[in-house]
Amino acid sequence: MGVTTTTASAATYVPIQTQTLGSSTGTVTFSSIPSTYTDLVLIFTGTTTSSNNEFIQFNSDTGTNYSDTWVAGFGPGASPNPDSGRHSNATGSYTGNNTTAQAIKIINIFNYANTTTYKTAITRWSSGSGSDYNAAAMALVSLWRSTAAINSIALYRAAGTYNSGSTFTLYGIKAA
Amino acid sequence: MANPTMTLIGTPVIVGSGGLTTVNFTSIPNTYTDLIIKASARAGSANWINISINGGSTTTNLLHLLDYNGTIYSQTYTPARLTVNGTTSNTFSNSELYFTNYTSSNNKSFSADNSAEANSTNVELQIGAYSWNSTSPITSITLTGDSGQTIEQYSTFYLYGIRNS
Repeated sequence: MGVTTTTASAATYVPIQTQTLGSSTGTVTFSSIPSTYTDLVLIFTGTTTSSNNEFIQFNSDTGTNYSDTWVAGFGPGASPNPDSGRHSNATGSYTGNNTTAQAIKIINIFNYANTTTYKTAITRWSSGSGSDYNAAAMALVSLWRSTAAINSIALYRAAGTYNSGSTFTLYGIKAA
Repeated sequence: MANPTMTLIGTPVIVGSGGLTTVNFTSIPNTYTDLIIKASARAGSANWINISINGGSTTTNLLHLLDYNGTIYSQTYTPARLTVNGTTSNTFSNSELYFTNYTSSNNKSFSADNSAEANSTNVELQIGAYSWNSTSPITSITLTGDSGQTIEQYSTFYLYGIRNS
């Protein structure tokens, strides 16, 4: 079997949209995502009002079409620590908590525009300050059981809000 | 189309004969949104390389999750560190450090993904969460082998800037 290689000639890591919150909100949505990229990367940095769970949802699909599996190390005082878990038949994929400390989320969404396969994502949540569940190094894998091309992404919280000043940037990755 | 947003900053560090005591990225421009360091490294018998931001050493907390010899555990350390393999010769780690919003006036969070497979009993797979509790922009990042160990020849370090516009 042969391997075909290509030479990239254009930008491959392109910002699609940045949202910097001017006021607190519980949901941030990227809509009308073009289908011209290969993969997507969503970068979050900021704080929230509480440590409640956060989720990602695609194309406004509120059906029980999501699942995820996660592993995490938490701050001192958390028990059990480390810990792992999964959610099945959920209405959104879990992406960790976020807290009042500055945190990072890096969400890689693969082959998002294809209309043949279900969609998968890998998320890294990092919050290095605080104790218990306020601090975490977490890795998650997510599945959205839909063959539809992803054209919108919403990040939302089970309770509480993202604080003003939090930043969300969606990048497109081009294979060629 | 938007301008290219992932840009190599400065000259990559390709460690030559004799090794290096430290790897310094200095005078980091403030014209990017995020920073990424990609590294392939080892440092003698050391199992980690310490990370210092703006010359500081005590204000960085690390939480990391490890698989060490098949046992998963979580632990906190100061200063932050980049996991390498100190047992099997000619074996280099793979690491990525991601710094978001590095010029902001908030505390700085960053993450690390490290692997140091070495076909030995001294192996670590790490995901890390870090916080540098300072309102200053990040202008320099220094990497130093633990316990005075030299960062070895053939180690490589690349610093990239990411722009969101």
